[in-house]
Amino acid sequence: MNISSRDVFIILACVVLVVIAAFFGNESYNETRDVIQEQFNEQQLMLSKQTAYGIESFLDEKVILIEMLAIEGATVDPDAFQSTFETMYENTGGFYGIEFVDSNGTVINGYPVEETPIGYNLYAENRSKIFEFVKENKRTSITDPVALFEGGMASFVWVPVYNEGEFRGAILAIIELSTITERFLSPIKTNESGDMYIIDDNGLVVYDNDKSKIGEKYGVIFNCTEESCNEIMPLVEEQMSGGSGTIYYQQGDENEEQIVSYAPVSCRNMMWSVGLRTSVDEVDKIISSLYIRQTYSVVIATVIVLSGGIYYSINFSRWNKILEEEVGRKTDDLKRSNKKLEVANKKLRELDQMKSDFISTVSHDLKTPLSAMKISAEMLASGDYDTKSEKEIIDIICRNVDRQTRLVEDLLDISRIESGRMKLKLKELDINSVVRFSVDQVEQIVNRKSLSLTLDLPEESPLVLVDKDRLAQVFVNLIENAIKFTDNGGITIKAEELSEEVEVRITDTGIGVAPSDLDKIFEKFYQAESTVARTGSTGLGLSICKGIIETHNGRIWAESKQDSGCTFVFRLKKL
Amino acid sequence: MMGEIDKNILGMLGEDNRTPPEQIAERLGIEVSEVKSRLDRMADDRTKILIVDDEIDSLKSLKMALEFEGYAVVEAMDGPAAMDMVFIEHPDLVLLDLMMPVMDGFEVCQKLKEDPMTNHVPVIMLTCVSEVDNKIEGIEVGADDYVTKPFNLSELKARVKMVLRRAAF
Repeated sequence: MNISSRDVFIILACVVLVVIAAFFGNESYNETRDVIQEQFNEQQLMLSKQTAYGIESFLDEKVILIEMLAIEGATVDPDAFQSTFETMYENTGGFYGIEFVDSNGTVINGYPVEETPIGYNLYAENRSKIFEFVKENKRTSITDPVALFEGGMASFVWVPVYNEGEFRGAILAIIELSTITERFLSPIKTNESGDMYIIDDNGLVVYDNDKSKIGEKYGVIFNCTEESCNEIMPLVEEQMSGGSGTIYYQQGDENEEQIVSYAPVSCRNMMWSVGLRTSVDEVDKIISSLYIRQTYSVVIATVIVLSGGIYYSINFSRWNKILEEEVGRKTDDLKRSNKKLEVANKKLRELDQMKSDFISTVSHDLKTPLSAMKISAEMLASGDYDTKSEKEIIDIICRNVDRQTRLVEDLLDISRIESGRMKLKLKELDINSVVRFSVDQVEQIVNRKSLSLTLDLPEESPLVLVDKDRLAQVFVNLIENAIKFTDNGGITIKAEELSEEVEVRITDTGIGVAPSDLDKIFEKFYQAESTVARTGSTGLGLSICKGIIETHNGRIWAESKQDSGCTFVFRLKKL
Repeated sequence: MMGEIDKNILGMLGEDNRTPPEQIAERLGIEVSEVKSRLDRMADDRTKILIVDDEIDSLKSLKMALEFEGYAVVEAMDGPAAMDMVFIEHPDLVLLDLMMPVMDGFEVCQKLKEDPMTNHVPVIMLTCVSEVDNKIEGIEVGADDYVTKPFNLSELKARVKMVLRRAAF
């Protein structure tokens, strides 16, 4: 295979184009990735902030409700709380239970009643620490989540009840964490948006998808021990101090890069932090899904464009083919008609040539005897001759006058035949008589050359409708022609009756005619090579014979083998 | 070939100018009459004209007329014979008929004019057609003059004289 420099150039250009395309593709990928990463981070942060805000509002709402009840209930009989608790519990939801603890630390009422350990004394059970704390500080306190007897986690909201400085007890609202998580965290699908968790300001897990981790130290979330958690310390510290933002870190053994967006939840003394953890791969997944979609659309567009192109190119090539065929057909037509024209032209040229040849031959043949006569006559006139030449001069004149006469007669015959003006005096004659009549006219010539003349005539002579003189002319011409080319042997004239025609054959033992010349010998002025020395014939004899026979509606042709004589055959309709 | 015989005859006469024709004929193996006619021909100082025509009557009448005018006339009936005669007889002028079978007048003229041995011999073409094309072709192949049949005898004689005079320069 030959690779030209042009091919090398095209290949190099393709490589360069591919490199450039790859470079720009990579650049745009990185840019896209950065943009998407940024947007993703913002979205995650927003999500975590929203969640944190939701939880915060929920808690706030509950706490404020309880606090208002505490202020309102300070002056009434604590027994009256029972109905208020029921209203609150039933209408707001989110409470696991609401209880009133009197100043002695004894639970005196609550709702729902069946969940309320009435008579339970905090001091007696040695769990009065927070009770004491809110009594001292006179403000609400929210505990870290603690396990319930019934299972699950709950935060305890303690609100002290004071009436003009007198401590009357505290309202305890138990908010089950599952209420919060179900309401705010469950809608966040782990697989789609990441992994949501909550830790408190002590680094304990408040919430995680894996319920068993709740209450444990933050390490369980990140799958690290105290020692190996250095990498996540900045994050945990940020979260524990109530900040918000986005942080990257490498996760555990797989060294997977993670993004965590975090936002604080604060309510009274409580301080939590919501974290939304996602693998960086997610971004790549989004980008690749984006690219895959783009690729799909590019592929589909390409396929559409290509199939359109192919459709049109197929159509065009088909039209092209049809056009080519059409053009080819037209060209062939043109060629054919050109050929016809050429042939016609050639025929015309041949006819023209024949006409000029005829004219020049006639001119020559007419002028040649004239020339001889003129010279001879001038000699006689001038007297510039001796007596012994006189006879010869007169002979020349007479001979040429005869020749001229014969030629003129022949030319007139030809002219009559060709213009169809030959008048025939048709008579019913028997063919034998015509043959005999003709033979009488040529007998002298035959005898002069000492040739034999044989007649082979039918006993019962068939009748034909002919012009006697014209038919005799044919016989004389044919016999003279035979004599001219025959030096030895003789001439046979045979007449025969066929079913509808009379056939006459004039056969000689002369030099014959070449098969290729058999048709030409009937042409005007055709002279065989062997007759170069003009023998006084006009070259019109056979042509006139043919004309006369055809005017009689007969046919004439010649049969011959070179060097073995020649037979002229003509057929006439018999009566 | 015939030239050789002439040369031999002259050679023998050169040795002894009284050698009788009978002896020459015997030595050369030819007829006495031929020796005589050859000697007559060689002794003939008349201007010699070769007439080339395939028409015997034209040839004869023209020959008689020119002989009576005092020219020696030799004849040929076709092109090849004419070429032979030119080499044998060394004519002073050729009268050439145009329309001949085998080799026409133009061809003969062209051959004569191409051969350095014969191109000095003037040629008058005799033709039946007076068309301009023929005249041009005749002149192109080197014909010295052109006479159209049937010509006036005195005109032909005048042209012959003129061409001979021109050739003499």
